[in-house]
Amino acid sequence: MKILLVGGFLGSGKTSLIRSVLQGIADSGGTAAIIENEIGENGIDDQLLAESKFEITPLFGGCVCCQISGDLISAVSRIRTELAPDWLIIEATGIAFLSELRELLERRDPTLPVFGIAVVDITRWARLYKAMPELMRNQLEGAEIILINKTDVKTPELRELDELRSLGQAHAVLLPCSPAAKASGRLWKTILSILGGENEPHL
Amino acid sequence: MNHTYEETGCALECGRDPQAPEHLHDHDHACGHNHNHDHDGHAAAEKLAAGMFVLSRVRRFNGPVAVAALQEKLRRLFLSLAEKAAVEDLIPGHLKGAVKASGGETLGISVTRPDTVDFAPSSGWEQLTVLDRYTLTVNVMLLSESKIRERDLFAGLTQRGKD
Repeated sequence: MKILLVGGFLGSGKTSLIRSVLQGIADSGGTAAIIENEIGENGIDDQLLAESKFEITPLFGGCVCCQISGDLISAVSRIRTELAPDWLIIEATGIAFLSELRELLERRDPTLPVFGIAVVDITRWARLYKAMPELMRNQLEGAEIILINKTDVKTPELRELDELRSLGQAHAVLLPCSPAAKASGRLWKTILSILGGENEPHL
Repeated sequence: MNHTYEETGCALECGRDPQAPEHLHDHDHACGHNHNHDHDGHAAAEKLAAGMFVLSRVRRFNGPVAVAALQEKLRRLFLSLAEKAAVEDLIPGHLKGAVKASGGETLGISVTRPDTVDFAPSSGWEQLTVLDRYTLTVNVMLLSESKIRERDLFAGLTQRGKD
């Protein structure tokens, strides 16, 4: 089992990315399970991902980054033991620090491969970064891929790309993404090739 | 305040231990938590979560209601919420919703810009023309105070009968 950790600000497009990823996994004959972390008491993303038919474990009413980290660890252990899917996709809340989540998982089980994707809403990036620089920076750390979302609405400026590149990890790849890319089925293959392998990351 | 795993004696399978003198705040010490760092490392994330405006409700509605008419009402509802949520034309968070029909078909609703409501229908939803009943879940998550109140979340949607 490998873990794909998906982070990014509220409304950045994490769930729509995951829908595309799940379709890609299903199309390639792979298996997946999902852990959905939402701050609100009533889940929404689990309803929207149910069409995928993969198992979804909801963790609502708090952020696993700090408030309910034990619930996350228990869920990961259970899924690994009982389901052993090819991929466990964890959707973080919109305020989670990706690097902290990653640290939590890797410390708990250093043998479990963890990969991170940070989703950035390019239509709001500049203003959100100006208002909340620490949060926005922390959401980029811990990601192998910085997925630049909503490029159909706004083309990223060079200044913004430079900013994202400088705030992310040295080896992080910037990946612009549009709804068409998500719908085409190419996105998952692109993500896999970035993470290190033709069909599967080298583990 | 710094303290170590060894000092607290916390086992890997531990639950909360709010009585430990080193723990100056209510903190989740579940499995894998690393005590070997300054606890203030979590302070930023916890402060953020504590300062958020979160309103989450779910309500059931009876139909029959035409899907197109409902979608238009939802568009107006979420634009109204966006107007209340926006700070200088920026939504500092996310307004989202999900409609679930009796057969399990879903319609996702997302607002991150004050003038746009994005819909994400499931493949089954697009085949629907009329709903006999449905549930609507609305989550408002903002990093600033808001004028949105619970009564605003389902404004314009009638509980029973024809919409």
